[in-house]
Amino acid sequence: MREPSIHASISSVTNRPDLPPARRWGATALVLALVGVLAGCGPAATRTDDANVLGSVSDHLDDSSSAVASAELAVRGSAAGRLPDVTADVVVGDAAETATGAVHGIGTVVLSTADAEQVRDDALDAASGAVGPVTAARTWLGRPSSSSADEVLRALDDAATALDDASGAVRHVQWARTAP
Amino acid sequence: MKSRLLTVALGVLTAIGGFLDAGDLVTNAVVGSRFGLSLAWVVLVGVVGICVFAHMSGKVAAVSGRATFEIIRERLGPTTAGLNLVASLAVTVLTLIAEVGGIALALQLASSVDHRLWVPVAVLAVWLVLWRVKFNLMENVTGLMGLALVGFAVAVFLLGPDWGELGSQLVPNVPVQESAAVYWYFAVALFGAAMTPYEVFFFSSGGVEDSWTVKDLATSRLNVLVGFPLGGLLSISIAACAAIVLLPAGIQVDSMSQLTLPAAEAGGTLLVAVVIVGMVAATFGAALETALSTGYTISQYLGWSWGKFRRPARAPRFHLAMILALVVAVGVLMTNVDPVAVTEYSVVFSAVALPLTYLPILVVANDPEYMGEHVNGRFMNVLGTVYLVILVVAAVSAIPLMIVTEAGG
Repeated sequence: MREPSIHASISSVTNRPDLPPARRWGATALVLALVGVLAGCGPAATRTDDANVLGSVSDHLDDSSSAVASAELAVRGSAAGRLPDVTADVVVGDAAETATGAVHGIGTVVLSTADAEQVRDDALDAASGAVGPVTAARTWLGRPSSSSADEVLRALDDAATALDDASGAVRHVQWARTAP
Repeated sequence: MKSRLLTVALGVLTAIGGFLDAGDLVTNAVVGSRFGLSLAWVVLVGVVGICVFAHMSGKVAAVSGRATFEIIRERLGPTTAGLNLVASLAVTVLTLIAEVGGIALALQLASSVDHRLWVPVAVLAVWLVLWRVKFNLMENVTGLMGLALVGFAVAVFLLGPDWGELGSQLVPNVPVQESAAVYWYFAVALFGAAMTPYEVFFFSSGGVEDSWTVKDLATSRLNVLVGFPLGGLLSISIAACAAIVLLPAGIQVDSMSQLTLPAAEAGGTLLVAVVIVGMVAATFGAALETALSTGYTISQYLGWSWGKFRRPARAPRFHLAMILALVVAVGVLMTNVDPVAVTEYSVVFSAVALPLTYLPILVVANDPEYMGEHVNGRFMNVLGTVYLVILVVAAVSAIPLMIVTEAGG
């Protein structure tokens, strides 16, 4: 026995003579919307999809850079006696949370091609590398005698540079994939 | 005469201090750190809008001696008023959650104790004030303490920016690194933050609490027309602080703590302490107002006795409604939801509910049965209608923009 085609199945729902015209149109729209949703959920890893996912990686790297910059300002403010220690601790704590969230965000994206995956891995390294200096900044705020502010700031600077490089690489691949 | 002047000055000062809430603090800082001052025009549009509708609802309260929502139910019937109630109540409770979260985050800044531990304390304090403190005292203390947010305006001057460059940012334009959709999403969010529905319900019910009469119309007008625009300037100064310090450093605001960084750079620990006091007062005052608005709208719709001028035992269901709203706020915040995210969503959903809130006010303000000779003049009606069109556009575009931009990316 031949299985009914999807067209036949849709027709059986939308062409029922007992349905008034308005409801028939409504049923057609509903079925088409369902088909659209199902089609959208299917695997469609293309070059453009990778470009979109890399856009998300780029956003996470921006979040990470923002967290590093926040921590840097907080450490400078605290070292100069311009920001109360308790407040600086909250700023850096929030920055650590953002930086960790960015690592999680980059680590969970799925890419379809090897070169895009390589760029993602580099971005993941840079984002992971930024978490350490940010949490070290929080440790320094709790025990300023453990190291100098300059050391903490230097580590944050290095993390910021690594993130900038990773961002540049991601944008380059993203641009190459969206270019006609 | 002297005491009259003092009353007027106090009203204006509390209007300035009470203008800002968690939504304004967060949204202006986020916008300043991403778009500079290129969205400052939205604050201007929002401030004029809130002035128009707060003035109208204050006038309704002063002339009729009744709160806006009572009249809306009577004038438009239970179904239309019910729709209005559902929309504005949902947004007001969401705003209350954001405000309680805001208090907790601001207290965390002063103590470094996790905000989740401050949530129950904040709610208990809000409830105690609602239960025990007189309306005038509550309004004046939080409003005056909220003036500490002037610290952000002071910070702008102390930071010594290039005024020409800062001024050039006022021209509306989409920055290269942002898309037009994201720009308009934040425009809608800023507009929603400036025109949150609870403000007009609180303003009109507060007029009844304060026993306003026609004689108080001039004072009410002055509070609105001077206090709110100056409050709007504070909003812009928060965005300016973010534009001067955070934007060049590549910092995108995603937490309330980042608001202290420009203050620290400008004025050191003292200014940081001042703005933290302002943040606690602004969010605490707004939590009181939103909790009261919840009680006001439900009680006025259902015909229960309401008001802080009555002892709690004489308005038990009014107080119960507020307590339930506060319990919901604690419950939601204890799920570990991010209060800043709640705040961002609350201002966008505010924008969605705006037409349902403001259309009935325009209708009532034009009804001679309630307003007598004080019905809206032509100028107010033209302004009100223009704003209704803007409100509808903002409401219709809010959710699609939220989806397209993934809530601002």
